[in-house]
Amino acid sequence: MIATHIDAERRYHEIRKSALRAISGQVSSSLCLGFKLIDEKALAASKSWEFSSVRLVDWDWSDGYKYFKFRHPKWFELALWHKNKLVSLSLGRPTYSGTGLRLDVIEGSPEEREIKVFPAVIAAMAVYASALGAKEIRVMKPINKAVRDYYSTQGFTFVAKGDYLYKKLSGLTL
Amino acid sequence: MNDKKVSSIQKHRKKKKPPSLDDVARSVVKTHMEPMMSNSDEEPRGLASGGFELDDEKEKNDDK
Repeated sequence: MIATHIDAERRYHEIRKSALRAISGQVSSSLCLGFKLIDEKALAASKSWEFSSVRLVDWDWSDGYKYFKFRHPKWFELALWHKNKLVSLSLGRPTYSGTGLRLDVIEGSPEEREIKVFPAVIAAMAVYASALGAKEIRVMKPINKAVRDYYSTQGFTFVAKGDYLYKKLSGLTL
Repeated sequence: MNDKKVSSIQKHRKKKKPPSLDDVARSVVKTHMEPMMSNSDEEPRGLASGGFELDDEKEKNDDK
């Protein structure tokens, strides 16, 4: 790994931590949500998803996470916890032009969830996007129509050509 | 004239100051997260998007 890559990793690691700290500080404690970086505990917890009969994907988060972050030093990551239970993992990165932040991989726990995870993931992304100077958030490749329609209810606009949805950051903040 | 100049400089400075991460977080929680988490729209249980299969050329095109 070259020095510039290591420097970038270090710098963006600090920004990621600051973004998650900022969002954690604003969310009511009554929601019992934890906004954390992806760590061994989260990856181990995601292993239990592999036994779910309702899971729609067969992703190996341990391998995928390692590979993704190596390739994209400015990556976004979130392990979302609810009442000490892992409810979602997500990964993203800036677009090539830097004007947007992409949500490249998101998975909600296939187990019964008491809360919605997508609005919380988007909130964390919005803070990180703002820190990077990005102007929009893109959600890449929704897995099916139900998921795509759900994102649309959250104000995201579908772009068929690239198979993604987007929302301007200005539409997420005051 | 001078008053105008001062006011224009003040406006410019005001515009230039980016919001802090805490300000952005506060705003997005109030404007987006809390309303969306408490409304009646159901979140699909099998919520997933994207994937780990990466193709640089395709990604460049996606980003255009």
